[in-house]
Amino acid sequence: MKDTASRILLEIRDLETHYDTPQGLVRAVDGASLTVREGQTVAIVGESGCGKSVMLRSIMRIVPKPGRTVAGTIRYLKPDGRQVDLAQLPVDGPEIRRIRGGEISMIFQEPMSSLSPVHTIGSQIIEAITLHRDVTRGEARRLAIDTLAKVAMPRPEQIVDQYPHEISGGMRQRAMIAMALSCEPRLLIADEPTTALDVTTQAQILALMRRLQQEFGMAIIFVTHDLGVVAQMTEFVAVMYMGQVVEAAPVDELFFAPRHPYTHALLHSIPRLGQRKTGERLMSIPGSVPDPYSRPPGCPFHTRCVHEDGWRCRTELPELRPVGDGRTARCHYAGQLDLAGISRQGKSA
Amino acid sequence: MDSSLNQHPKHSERRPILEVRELRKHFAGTVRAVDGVSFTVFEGETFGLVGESGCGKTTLGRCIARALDPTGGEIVYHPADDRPPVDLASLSARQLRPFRLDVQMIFQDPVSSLNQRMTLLDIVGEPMVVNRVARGKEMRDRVGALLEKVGLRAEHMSRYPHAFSGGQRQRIGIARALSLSPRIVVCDEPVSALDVSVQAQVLNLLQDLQGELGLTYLFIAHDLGVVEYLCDRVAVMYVGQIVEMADTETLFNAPLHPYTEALMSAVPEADPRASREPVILEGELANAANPPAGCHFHPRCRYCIDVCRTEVPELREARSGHSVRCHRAEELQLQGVAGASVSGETE
Repeated sequence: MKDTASRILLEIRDLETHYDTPQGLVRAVDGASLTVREGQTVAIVGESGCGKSVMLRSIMRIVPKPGRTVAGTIRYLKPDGRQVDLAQLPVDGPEIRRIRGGEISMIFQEPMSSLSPVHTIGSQIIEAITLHRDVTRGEARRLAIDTLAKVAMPRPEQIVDQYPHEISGGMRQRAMIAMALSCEPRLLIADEPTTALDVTTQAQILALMRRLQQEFGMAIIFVTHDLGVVAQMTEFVAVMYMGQVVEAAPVDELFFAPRHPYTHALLHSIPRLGQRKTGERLMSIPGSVPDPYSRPPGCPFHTRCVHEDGWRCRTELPELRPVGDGRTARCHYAGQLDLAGISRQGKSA
Repeated sequence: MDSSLNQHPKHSERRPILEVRELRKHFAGTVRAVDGVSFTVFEGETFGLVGESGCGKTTLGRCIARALDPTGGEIVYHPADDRPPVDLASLSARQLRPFRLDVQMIFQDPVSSLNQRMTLLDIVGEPMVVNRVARGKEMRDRVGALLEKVGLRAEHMSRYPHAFSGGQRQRIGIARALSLSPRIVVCDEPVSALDVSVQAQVLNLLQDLQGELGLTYLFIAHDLGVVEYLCDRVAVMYVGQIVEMADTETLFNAPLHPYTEALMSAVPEADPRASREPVILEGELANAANPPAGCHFHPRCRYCIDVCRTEVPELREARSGHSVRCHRAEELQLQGVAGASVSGETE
């Protein structure tokens, strides 16, 4: 296994990023922890509003105002072996600017709104290259075309001079990946990179990302709500709910032996392709994610949990604690509940 | 819930409710969004339309609900009573009126499809007033009952949509669609904008309502897992045409069209132990204004031979109840979802 041999690249501990709004304080990230090793692919799974995007933006220090990281550490291992706490760096200081887009880069869900519509694809990639590398503009242009070729962009010499609106959604996503990879990052953060794409285009982009990872060896944090993407693309999964990591485990263990009731419910609430014969009715999670302005006391999931005990779950916030080799869960009863994993076709797990 | 709803019905015993024949919808004269689509929907079934964005599935659904005027073709509707079948496509707005009640729509986006300045009472009650079905206290009572039926509370009828979550707003949209007691509901991506934990609630609700009210659904979606779960029969669309149509189990287990195979294979399996390699389709959906000659799918098809480049394949019944638009349907051995995962098992 890769993750025992490699070094820890990024270690997030008890991160808190809050939004002070006129309606009240929103604890978008509320004590989340996550470890990413070199070359590892980690998934962050959760529904809208669970804080996954804010957590990623906290790493890059690009949390939109009025959001602020108020507590916790984000220890990042520099290429020279030094550790820096990204949470302590000034948001527009030289050090984070060297890291942001250079050593750690990000791709977003909506390529149309994350690319500048008034600059050519080439000029946007060239800008990223000249910011982080000591090269002439001519060399940067050549590197940009090379990178576009690496992401299997058709006709890269032409596309480099085109504008985002002139190319298709799948090609725009390739252009954004090219931009993110142009400086050979050590960590790539992919925020729902295929959610806006059709399945056939998604398959192209996922195959591309897998190939690029083998080639460049970078670590990837994959944010998604698609459990298929998680299963096929990642080694380790963190499930988030209301700003906290509620369960973290290697992908196989999470799917076949979930420990947190929320993970269990997610696994069983989606119709999976090829499951029709089993004739099961979909399990649904009652209610919806609570209003962020009024977090429930105790375990934040207790309002929707079928295992809620009526007293402890309602009053006492569970700790994220070890529940087996290399895995953690934030539930008072994580070890005791007998939660079923997914079943395989024709046989049970 | 009775699981027999999931079993595909014996078509011969069922009464057709909707017969779509050679339906066409062209935009600006050249964009053939829907280009000669024919299929029959039987009473009480869920008929799925799948395909990628731009394949024409939404346009087709809107033509059937007559939210758009088709360019050509027929939409033959069989009313419940003794009235004879009628071609909805040929009716004027005035003639259409008595039939509008019978075909309603549920939309994808629960935010933009509800007027934020109207209360639930107005949103769900307005169709009744406009169509002179009910007014005043009777309308209120009906709205209350409908809200309860979709899992909302009747006493919330004076609230506005912003006070509700995404899943609850979709329930409001469902209540509105049901307010005129339709027989057919066109569901256009009804769960794709919802969080996964809420999707299941809405899918289960749609199933319960179908069982209770005997509804027929035309279910438009791109999520193949959802389609497989909910639909009795499925049509796959590509560039404005149906390329394959069969009952759900047959289609997913033994597809006959290479596009269907690729589409299913592209869905990442939610099983970390499955190691099947997806069929990667090169390129993108063809342009509906200028589709390729011959079979529209041929530039992306890995089974393409000379005839595919020049001759347009017809949609034909290759097996009983299983239609396909491919020259090579009989000779190809294509992988379905079950087959694919079994082969993944042995690797």
